[in-house]
Amino acid sequence: MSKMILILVVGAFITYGIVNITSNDNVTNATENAADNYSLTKARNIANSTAEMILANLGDNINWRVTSPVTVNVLGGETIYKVEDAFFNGDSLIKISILGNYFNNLKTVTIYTLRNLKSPGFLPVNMYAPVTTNNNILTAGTITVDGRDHTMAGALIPNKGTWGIWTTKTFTQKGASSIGGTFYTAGVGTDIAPTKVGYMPVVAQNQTYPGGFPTTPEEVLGGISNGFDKDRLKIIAQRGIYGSQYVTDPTNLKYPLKGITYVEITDSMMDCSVEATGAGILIVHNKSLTASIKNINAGTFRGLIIADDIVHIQTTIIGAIFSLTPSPSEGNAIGLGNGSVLYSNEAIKEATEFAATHNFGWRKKRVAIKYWFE
Amino acid sequence: MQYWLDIVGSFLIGGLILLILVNLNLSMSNSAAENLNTNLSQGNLTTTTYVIEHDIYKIGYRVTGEKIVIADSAELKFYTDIDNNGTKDSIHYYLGDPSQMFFTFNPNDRLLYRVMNNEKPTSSIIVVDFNLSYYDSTGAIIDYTSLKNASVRGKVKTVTVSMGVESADPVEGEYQGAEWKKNIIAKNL
Repeated sequence: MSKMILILVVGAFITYGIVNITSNDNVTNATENAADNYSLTKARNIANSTAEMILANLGDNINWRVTSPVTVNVLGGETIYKVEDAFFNGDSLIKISILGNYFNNLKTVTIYTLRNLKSPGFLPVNMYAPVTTNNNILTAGTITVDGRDHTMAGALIPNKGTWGIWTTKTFTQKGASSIGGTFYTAGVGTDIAPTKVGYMPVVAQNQTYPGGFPTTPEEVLGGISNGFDKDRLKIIAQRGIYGSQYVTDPTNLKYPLKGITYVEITDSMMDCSVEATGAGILIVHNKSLTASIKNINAGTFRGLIIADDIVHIQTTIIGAIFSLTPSPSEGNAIGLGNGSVLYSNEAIKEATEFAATHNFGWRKKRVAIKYWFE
Repeated sequence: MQYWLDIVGSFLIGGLILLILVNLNLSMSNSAAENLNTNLSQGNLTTTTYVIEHDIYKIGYRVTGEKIVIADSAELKFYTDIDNNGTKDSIHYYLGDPSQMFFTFNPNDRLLYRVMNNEKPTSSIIVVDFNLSYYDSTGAIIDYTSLKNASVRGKVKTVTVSMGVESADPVEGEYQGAEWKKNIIAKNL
């Protein structure tokens, strides 16, 4: 009997030992599998992080090349990369080759980019003038509205501009306010410097907006057909992309403005500054088209202002302004003081760059990626 | 009398030891089976994720025009030059029906098909869950209904894949499994 028990005990321990070893093997395999997966992910992260750094460098200097492989340590691993000119798929491109290595787990990434920096900014198809309105409009005081083209810095670019005023109703000039712009004959532009008289060639009255006058900021930028579906700009602002802001109380805005600033209010953003860094889009809007921006009396804004109602511009705006309401809250006067609105293709393009649909990353605006293979 | 007490006592103690050992072995066997199943599930899952990541990261590579042609909750078809040979390929992922897996105990397992170009559908991927979500450039989710429209599919920038695998057979009524979820930013979209 005791022998039988002894045999059983020994047999059981042998079985236990075998099962235990098998079980340990399984655990070891699972751990190795997890570690391999982690290492491969890490190698991918190393390669992609290197790609981001290289693209940032190219964004600063598109002529930067690294024709001999360079090894650098990134994220606890190692990466080897080259940046060279290449002809691929019928195009002359820049080829970026990256090999990420994390404990001998390798990941390769090959990227082809265009050789010139490219901005995705655009001029909205129906952006006709530095001041576009859906109501009767009046300028007074010493405001200057100049549809001639300007640089971001406000320097004049001759004979490349547009109307000074564009409205679906009528325009009235009062006081010392002056209007300028560019009119075209057989495709050749002629500038009219801001003037109190003789501005009619650059003022477009009683116009019809193609497809109906916009009632949302997205429609100003081309609407759904241009990739701006309902509330797209609001979503970008709410997500804070490129420093964008969304507020329902204008006093909460942080200056200088960046990216898309979306102010959704039921009344007025009053006595305000529009100081902006770079260029952006300032939107003051609600669904009833009753949000207004009033007494803009500080800061220089470069970009695009889209507001339901714009009253009293007393500062400098380089770019364009677009008013949505057909029923302005305080008559039709957009300017009473010494403000100026200078049309600028460059500022508008820079502004819409923030709203354009990017693949990812800030530098994608500058380095145009053609192919990415990993 | 003493002799019989020794016999009975030995039987009792021997029986108890035997029961303990049998119980220990059963527990160990179950534990080993669970470990094995979990290990297999995890292995299957990582292998599958390699394939899925390999494909989805390349959506739209060297493709002009429409890049994603079907984008649904458990189905994705897209174009890419997967082998980098200059020829556009189509990759189609979709789920089979649970009834196809009649030979396993697990009622939830299904085949995940990967079809390249016009090849005959084949699959070695068995999953219990395969779900896809789509996001635009702002990170906003795009609903499946609107993804039937090609222009909306053109806005997809990120694909989130979540997947679960389980063992074919249960151990003590439980199926051992593993899950995986990843946001994949397809760089060519």
